[in-house]
Amino acid sequence: MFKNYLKIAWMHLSNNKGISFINIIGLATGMTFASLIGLWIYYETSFDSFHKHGDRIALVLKHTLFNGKKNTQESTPMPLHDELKSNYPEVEHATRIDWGGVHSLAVENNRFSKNGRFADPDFLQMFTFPMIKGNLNTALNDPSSIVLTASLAKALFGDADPMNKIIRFDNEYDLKVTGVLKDVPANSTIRFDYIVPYAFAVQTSEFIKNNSKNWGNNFMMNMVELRDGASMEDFSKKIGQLNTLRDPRMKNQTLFLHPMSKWHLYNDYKDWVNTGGKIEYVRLFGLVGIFILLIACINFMNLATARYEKRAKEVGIRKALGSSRRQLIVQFFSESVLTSVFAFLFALGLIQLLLPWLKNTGFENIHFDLSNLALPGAVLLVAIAVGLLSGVYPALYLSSFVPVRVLKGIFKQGNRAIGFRKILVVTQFSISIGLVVSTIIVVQQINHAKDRPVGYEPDNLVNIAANNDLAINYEPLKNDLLASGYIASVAKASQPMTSRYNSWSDFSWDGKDPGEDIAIDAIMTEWDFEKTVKLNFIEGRPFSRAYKTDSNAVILNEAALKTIGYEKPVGRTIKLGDRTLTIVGIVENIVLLDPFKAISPLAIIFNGSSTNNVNTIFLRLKPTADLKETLTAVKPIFEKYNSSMPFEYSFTDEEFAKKFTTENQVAKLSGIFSVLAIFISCLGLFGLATCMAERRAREIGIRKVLGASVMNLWILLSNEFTMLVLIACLIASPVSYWIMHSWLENYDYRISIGWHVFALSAMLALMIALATVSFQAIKAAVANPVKSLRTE
Amino acid sequence: MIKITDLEKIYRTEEVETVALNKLSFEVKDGEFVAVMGPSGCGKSTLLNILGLLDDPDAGSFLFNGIEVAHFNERKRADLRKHNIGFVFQSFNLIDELTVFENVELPLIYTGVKSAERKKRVEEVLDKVQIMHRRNHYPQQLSGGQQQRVAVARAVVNNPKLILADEPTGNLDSSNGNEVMQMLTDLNEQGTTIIMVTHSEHDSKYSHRIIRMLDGQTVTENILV
Repeated sequence: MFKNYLKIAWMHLSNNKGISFINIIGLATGMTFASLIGLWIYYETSFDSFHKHGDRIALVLKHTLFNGKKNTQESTPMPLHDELKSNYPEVEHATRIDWGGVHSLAVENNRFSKNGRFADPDFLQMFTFPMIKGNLNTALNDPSSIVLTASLAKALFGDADPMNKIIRFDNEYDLKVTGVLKDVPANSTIRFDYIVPYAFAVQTSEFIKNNSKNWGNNFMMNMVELRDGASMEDFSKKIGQLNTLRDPRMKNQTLFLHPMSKWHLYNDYKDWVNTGGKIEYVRLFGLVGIFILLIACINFMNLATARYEKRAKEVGIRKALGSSRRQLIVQFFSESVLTSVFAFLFALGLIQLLLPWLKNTGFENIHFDLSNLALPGAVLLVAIAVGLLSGVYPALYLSSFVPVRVLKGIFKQGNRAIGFRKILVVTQFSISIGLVVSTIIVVQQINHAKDRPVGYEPDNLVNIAANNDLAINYEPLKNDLLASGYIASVAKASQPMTSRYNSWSDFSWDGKDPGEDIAIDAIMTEWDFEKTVKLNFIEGRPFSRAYKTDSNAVILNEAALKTIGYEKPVGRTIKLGDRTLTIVGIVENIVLLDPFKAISPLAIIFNGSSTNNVNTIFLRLKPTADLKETLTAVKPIFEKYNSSMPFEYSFTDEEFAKKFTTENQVAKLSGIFSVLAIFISCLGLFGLATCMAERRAREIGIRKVLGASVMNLWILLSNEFTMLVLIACLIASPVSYWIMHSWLENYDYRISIGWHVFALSAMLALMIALATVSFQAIKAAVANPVKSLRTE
Repeated sequence: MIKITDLEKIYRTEEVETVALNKLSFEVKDGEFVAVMGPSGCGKSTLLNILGLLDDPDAGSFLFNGIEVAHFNERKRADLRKHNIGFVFQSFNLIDELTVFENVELPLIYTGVKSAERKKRVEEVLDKVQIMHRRNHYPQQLSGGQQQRVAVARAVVNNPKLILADEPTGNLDSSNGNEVMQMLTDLNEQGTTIIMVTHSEHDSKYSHRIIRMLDGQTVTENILV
């Protein structure tokens, strides 16, 4: 019997190839994207979930009030660590940790620049980064030790045992390998290739050593693991005022715990309140995924119902021949489940096909592994559920036909079914138009920020991380570079142009309100900086060798000038601690950090030291120079003065482009979702148009006999859908305006939403909808009226 | 007005070939009232569709007002049709979603008559078929006889030279049927040519001439007047 059901189901599918194809494609597309979104959400929510004590681990964050702005920062002062560890019984483990940095690691001639972190011995016990070799409890005890990840150990030592071997670190220090960890999983917020004890950083950095008791300097993260049963909330309250308590100068600062479970998805703070973060995208895409799957299911039902008039007779005959209602229901269910199983197989292929294509949209680490049966199994379950769900309505409805009526040919579809379908089309198009509007606005916002004047020229500007060797040899290095003929200008500075290394609150000036906390960013550099990064001066001049006094000169950006409030700034002085700085120039605002945010005040301070605060060397390439040739020429010069580190460089414009990663991903994904939603909506519309064409065949025939042209009929038939799409526009526009308006609120530097976005989206939707409907409309309009009238 | 010579129409499916019209020839003069009779499947409807320029013949000649139209394309046929031919069907074929007035107005819209002129002409013709009082009703609110009167009104509103009627009384009782036949006779007397397909011997007596068909051919022609 079952075989018979399948056979008949198969027959129906293959007899209606067009509709079956549309049905399977529609359902498969829906399943594919729902699955992809499911995989993505699964991945995003799995972050940091592999840590056994994850529910007890937290990062200490700090609310601050600077320049009248409420900010929340990760960086906390160094003495906080000892305080937490020794004075709070709730704390089981605590570690200091930095944000990671690139250092050179060498074993004989095998050299690598790799990203590592400084952390305390507790780190290995707090977090679940499983150890392959070494002792978890002691591996980081000796300040001169290093723990490697498996792939770095392999790269450095090959198949030899790395334990207790010595690694040359930054060409200065010898570190002993005391442990090997499994590679850090992709879904870990904390990423590194190796861990070096924080004590090592304290020993080797004057700055850290000098600030170990300073509660006013924030340059590290503090992480804690509480004891079982201790409440994070209570603990947050307990440490809240600690910073101010230890250093009363630190006003308006509140410490609190940010639980690990929130690190990845809830990482945004605005005005001291957690405003979510990536979770918003997870929710949004989740919703879109459910919608897409739902729409695909509904379309499936729709296309099935569009063929009811044809199937009605079959039902009548079957019933007349003695088929029970139950048998008919099973028959229709077999059809829908068979279709959805086909769709499932199709979807499996599509997922495999699409995943590599989605690589740069946040799907890099998402794998759909067919060998792991759980995943395809889950999708298959969804498929069967979709099949059953999609089959319910047709099965119950079709099987309920009264045979005498349908056999006599007086079966007509009710207005209710048609009205329901119209609502569906409006819903689908509202979602599609909303997505299109959102995509356009996201892209506009990205372009708006990309076109923002950055205050310097990022193109043809190369950054090279400077270590001690390069800093000491800076002068001969610079001369060699300029002599090569490929480089227009060279400069050194405390940081690259796409970051902020220093922000200080101990600036003062005439007329500063002593009660106000104001932080100013600082870049330390010397001659030729303005020429190399190409600053735009509004007034004054760059640092110059001609002025001896320039050893205490400072250049301010517009934002800093506004903060300080001098009328005629050039020649006047400000103070940094006890040091008096003379303002020699004012430059246009420079975008160092988030291109979507307001620009902070910046002071570019002359730095006479040859080794302190030299972290970056900038090369301005000659515009005519060939890039490959230039780099080939420059490489040996750097290697000459710096044998410890491989020659590595980055381009400022590329680093700047990385600031748009999340937004670009959102733009791409919402673009893909829009196309998809439109595609699926069009399938729905196509179904409705098919149904409409069948339902109105007689009317079309009559009108044709009375003289209607194909054009007349096309307009008549398309009008109905034009109306539906216009209604969808009316619904989608205000809703998407509201959603995108609140999305834009996240950005200080943002576009205002123009009416033409809505007009454009509406036109696009209308054109696509018309194209879809026209196929059926024209087909119906050119059909010979004799046929439709004869059936009467 | 109409002259057909050796008209052929063959319907083909993969396995079956059905000859609907087999070298059919006859002539209808201006102002004539002709009835076409014959058993089911003899080709009457096919003939009416070709005469109504809804379908084209496979072979033979079809002169309409002296013009050869047998191989006119769709657009030309539609143009000729809307200006010259009115249709009356057995099942009325009114559009359910439109009112009586709107149904009758349709042919005028498609021939591009201005709105004011349309209103005048529709009202005139509705008056003539005595259905003016139901102008705002929908077809389903009318009796069969009333519906067919609306259909006749729609067929004549454009002042066609030819009316093609396909069993116009088939769905009506005898008194309503007689009323419709009387209307057709009146139109004929005012100069409109009428070709009517019918099964009813009674109805056929209203015509001037009966063409009897069998297997796609004419078998006899009875002249009644």
